[in-house]
Amino acid sequence: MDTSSPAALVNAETLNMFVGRRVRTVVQVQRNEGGVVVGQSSDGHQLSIKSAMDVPVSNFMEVYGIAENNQTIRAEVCTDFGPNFDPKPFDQLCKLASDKFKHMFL
Amino acid sequence: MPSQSTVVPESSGLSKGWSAQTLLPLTVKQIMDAAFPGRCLELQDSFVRLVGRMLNKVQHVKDVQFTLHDGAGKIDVNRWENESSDAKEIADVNDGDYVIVNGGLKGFQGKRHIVAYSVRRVTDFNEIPHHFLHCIQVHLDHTRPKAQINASTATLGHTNQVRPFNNQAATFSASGNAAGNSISDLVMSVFNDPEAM
Repeated sequence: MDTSSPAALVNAETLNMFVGRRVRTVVQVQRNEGGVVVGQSSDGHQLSIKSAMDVPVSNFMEVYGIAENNQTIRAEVCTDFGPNFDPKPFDQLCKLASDKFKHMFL
Repeated sequence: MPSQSTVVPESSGLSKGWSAQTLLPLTVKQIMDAAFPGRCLELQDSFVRLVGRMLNKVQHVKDVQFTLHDGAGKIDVNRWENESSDAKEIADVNDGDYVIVNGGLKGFQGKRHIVAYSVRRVTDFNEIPHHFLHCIQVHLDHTRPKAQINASTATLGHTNQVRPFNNQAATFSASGNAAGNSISDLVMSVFNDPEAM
């Protein structure tokens, strides 16, 4: 894991602002298609996670990686957050961390 | 929840005047931003809470050292093992695990590190966004003038009542407020959401 570079907290909407940069998000796993995990973002959109670890469907997965485009992340580190993660506070955090309180995180 | 102290607000949110006993939830970025000449002394010896991933854990005879990476930055942490319970606590955590670190912020030759009195592995991952939202809330509390805080709580939606985030939940309407109030509303709405309790 690259510990020298901060990662922006993003949802699907704010991912667009960080294409090409290191990002961090949480998705709910919907399906695994040969190493590419398709998941639902905290704001209800589909994201594709390349090189993702094998996390059970319906579990939440945190992803650190590089945003390849506004719908795809190339994963560097994945963490299984289990089935009981609440995406709503995380989604609100993403909005705040990418806007007015960006200076606290990046 | 840690208690909030009365402080003199400054734009950075990390101002002098808070109680030395207050446990401040912070991001590593906030600590590093405060660490330039003239400001680092204000955080010196403060008690802080950080949440992040443990990396490069090194076990010594009487202490454990590791780097905490919270996504916003990294900081060195030292945990002394004074009792067997301390050793047990740290043995439960391994490289790559998410941890909650409570400790004192120290500085030596311009470099900051944490002397931890508690390093606990995260078992409920909801604690991670909650910590960062708490950081934002404390930052807001420390940077907004008291008069503005009182005014904003008086002008929030007429159908709602503002309560401190650790009291009973109340539904919240953030629309139609001034920009400063809407941000605070958004943060408070997360804390006051009944589903979050």
